[in-house]
Order: sequence, then C-alpha cells, then structure tokens
Amino acid sequence: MDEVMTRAESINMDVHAFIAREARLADDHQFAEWESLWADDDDCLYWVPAGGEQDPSTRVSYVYDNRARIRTRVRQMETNQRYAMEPPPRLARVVGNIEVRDTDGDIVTVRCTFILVQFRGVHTTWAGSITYRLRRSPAGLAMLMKKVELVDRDGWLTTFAFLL
Amino acid sequence: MIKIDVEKLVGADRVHGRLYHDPDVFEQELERIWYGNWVYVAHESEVPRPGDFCRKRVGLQEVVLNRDLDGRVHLFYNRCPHRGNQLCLESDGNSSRFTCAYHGWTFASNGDVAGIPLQDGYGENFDQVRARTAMSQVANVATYRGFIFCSVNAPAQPFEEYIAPVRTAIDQLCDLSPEGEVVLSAGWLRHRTRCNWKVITENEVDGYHVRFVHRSLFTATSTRQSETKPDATVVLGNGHNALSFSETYRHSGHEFQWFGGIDRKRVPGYVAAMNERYGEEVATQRFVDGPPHVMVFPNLFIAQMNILVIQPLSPSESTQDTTPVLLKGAPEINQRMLRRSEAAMGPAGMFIADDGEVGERNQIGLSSAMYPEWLELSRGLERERVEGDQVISDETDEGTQRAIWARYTALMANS
Repeated sequence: MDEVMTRAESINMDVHAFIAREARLADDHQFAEWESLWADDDDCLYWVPAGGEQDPSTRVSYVYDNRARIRTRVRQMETNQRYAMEPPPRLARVVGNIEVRDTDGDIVTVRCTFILVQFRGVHTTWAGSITYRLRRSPAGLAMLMKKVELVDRDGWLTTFAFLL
Repeated sequence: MIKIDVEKLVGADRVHGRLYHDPDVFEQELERIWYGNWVYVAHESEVPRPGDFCRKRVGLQEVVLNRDLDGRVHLFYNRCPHRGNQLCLESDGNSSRFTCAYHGWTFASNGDVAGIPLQDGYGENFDQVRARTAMSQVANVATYRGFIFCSVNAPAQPFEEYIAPVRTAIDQLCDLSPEGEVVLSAGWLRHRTRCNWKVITENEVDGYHVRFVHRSLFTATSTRQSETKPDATVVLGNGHNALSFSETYRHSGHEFQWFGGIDRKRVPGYVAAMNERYGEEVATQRFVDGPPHVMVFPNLFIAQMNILVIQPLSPSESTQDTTPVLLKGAPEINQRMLRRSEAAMGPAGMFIADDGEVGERNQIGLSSAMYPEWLELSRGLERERVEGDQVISDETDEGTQRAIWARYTALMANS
C-alpha cells in the first residue's frame, strides 16, 4: 500500500514540477528554454482555440502551432524586434488544480487551470484551463500538446504575443 | 447635439489629432458614418441554411442576421419588441424561432410574432399589438456577391454608387472560387485594440509601415519584404482604397505568390476545377493575380485571403474580427487557408499583433500629447497621378489616407 502511494505521489510530483517550470519560463520570456520543453515531434501542438466549435479542420484558432510554427514563433520573439514584445510585458501566472486525467503508456494527459496577470502600461488578466499531453522518458517529461482554453474565448481578446 | 465642424479639422495634407479621441467627434461619427451610410455587416455564407442565425454589430448596435425558413435573409435588431430584453444570446446557431427569456414571447424566423403567452391580457387589442410587435429590421440592407451591407438611417448615397468602385475587387476575390463564391464559415478571431477605429482603417492601406512594424517576421522567416510587397497605392473612390500587388505578381509571373508560392501540382483538384469553369487562360491569370487587398470604407478589409471587419467601441477602443476566405469548391485550398490565416492574423498573429501594438501606441500618442496638433499626411502629393477614376502612387504614399479623410469629411460635414 505504501509503495503504491509513493508511486502515485512521485508521478504527480514530476508533472507538477514540469508545469511550474514551464510557467516560470513562459513568465520570464525564456523562449529558448521554453521551446526545449517541447518534444521534437512534427505534430506537437500549441493550441489556443477561439470561441465556438473547436474542430481545427473547419475552424480557426488564435494559436494552432505545430512544431515548425512553434519554432517560427519563438524565432520571431528572439529577434527582439517584435513590437508587441518591446518591451515585453511583465507576467505572473499561477497554475493550479493540477489533475493527471489519463496515463497511457508513456503519455500523460494533465488538466489544470491558470490565472495570469499581465502588465505593460495596462493591467490585463487572462485565465482558463490548460490541457497538457506530456511524454515521459528517462530524460524527463516533454510537451506534445498544450491546449489553452481561455474563459473569454467567445469574447474579444487584447493583443498577446507572449507565451500563454 | 454639438456638431463638430470637420472641415476645419481636415486639410489637404493634414488632419487634426482631435478627430481620433474627441467624444463629440465619435458621437457624430455614429450618426453620419456608422448609421448614416453603408457599412459592412456579414456575409450570406455565414447563415447558409434556413434557421441559421448569427449576432453581429453595426456601430454600437447589436443585430442578428438570420435566414428564415423560406430562405430569405433578415437583419434584425437584437431587442425584444415587448420590453426591450436582449433577444438572441448565442453567438450563432440554428433555430426556427426566437424566444425571449423574459416573458416567453416567441418570434418566427421572419420576425413576425409567433406567440404571446397569456394573450387574454391584451383583450380586443391583441391583433393590433401582435401586428406592431414584430421584430424590427434594419431599414436599408443591400448585398453584393454575398457581402451584406446596411444603413441604419437613410444612406448618404445609393448602394450602387457606394459599391461601384470596389465591385471589381470583390469579383476578383469571389472568382478565385470554381463556383464563384466565397464561404466565411471558419469562425472569427476577435481582437480588441485600444485605439480609435480610424487608426485601423488607415493602417490597412498603409504600405509605408510594413518594413518597420513587421521586420521581426521577415527576419524570423528569412524573407525580404521586397519579394512580396505591393507595387502601388490605389485610391478607388468613395473612401475605398487598395494596395496593388498585380505588378509584383505579374513581374515574377509565378502562380500562387499570394498563397505561399505553392506549386499547382499540390492542388490538382482546384486547378482542374478552375480550368473547367473559366478556361485555362483565365484560370492561370487568376492563379498569378490572386485576391485583392482592399479597404472598403469604413470597415471591411479584404486582406487578400482574409476578411477583417472593424467596429468602433468608443473613441479609444475598437474591435477587429478576422476570418479566412474559404473558396466554394476548393477543399484543397481551404485546409491550408485555415492554418495560414492563424499564423498571421488575430491578437496573437505573427503579423497582426504588431499592428495592434503600433495602433495602441498611436492612440496613446494622439490622446495624451496635445502637440503637434496636426498629423502630417503629405507623403506622395508630388508624385501621385490620376488614372481615370483612380489615383495611383507609390505603395508607401499616403494618398489612401487622404482619400479616407476626404470621404470622412464629406459624410461628417454640416449640411
């Protein structure tokens, strides 16, 4: 019984640590390190759906980046010429209510919620749920998918070039 | 109501900063521009089936576009005719009726009263009450190739006159479809920017800013702006303006430069369908020429294969909603179109986020610093040339902004 409990705790702990680290890197605009959290799979997905239906074969999303597009987005920010990030906003986010919803072999599906406060002249709050698909390997965890469902995705969003 | 003498605030080569943040100017714009002449609302393809509806805005008005059960399109005010409750809550959907949550009144898809609960409360007056409480429709509605425009009050000009300078451009867009129709069904990216609506309208036909504002994207993708930049500004008339890409595209002669330069072998179904419908010669020319880049005054931006609709919220805030242009009968093109649109457009877009940022900085400059009072809009005055009904100049010139202000002044003038 103790062994089972210890294993359950340790699984949750590495996921928690990964999510906290991802949040810190995104807050601190550490683009290269953040990008290194992604697996190398072409079909990795950084996804911020719009309001309404979420079928990407028929509908657009605010962000729907495969691995190549994640690279381009990061590269664009690394130029330090992206006006929407000059200067970069100050960000502080809290990610909580972390639940491991499914474990299928080495793929872990995690659901959590976040609230993020952005300030650069104007104070803006972002919030929503995040679904992660993470691959566990001896090297640690890597992101396969990060899907951010904003509470206000049916409404109008202000500009966001930072990592949500 | 205070009337602003706009003619004193707009010159041949300058514009007064006040026009971007004064609340009285905004009120007058609502009356004369947003409710006093044609503005873009929606596309018929957004309500394809009987019962389909979607919520839109006209200026600050909430409206509902629907297709009734007989197939006719209506534009209703989103307000229950009984006591004014917000009638339609969902962004879009399909329903044979509208039902008001407050007292249960129901309306048929054509806006007629379908049912009034406890009607004995109206006694003998019931028939009269029922006759005068149909849903209100926007008085003036007109359509071209499925693009629906409206004028809340009597329009300043007939629709035929308003739309004439941009017919060719809208045709150019729709005729990229083998069936001659565009479909706006991919959903909307909704962007709120803290700037006056005119900052956005002017920016859409501004070639001058691209190499600066979008430099990060050119650097990141190792492209040079010169490869795909417009070749001219084109003043079309009635406040409508375009950036021309036709010389750029024809000069290189490559097909689909407007679509990532793909090889036609990757869209064989589309090529075959276009050849079948229009003949090879015309189809090939269209693959080269692509779609237009036109700002239909005041609020419809056809950004090649994206539609961007501008709406005012306040003197210092606006919304811009974008959707990709899907082509009826071109499934191979449409899938790619979704992903291309997402990359560039919307509040996180690799292009648009920086336009949004610059627009907001512009609003801050205009509203929190009083001097210099006038904006300098003289670029290109010496070299622009009249060609028939149009004025053509270098793609970085400001004849397009001057033309927007000329139309604005005519609509806003005291009469």
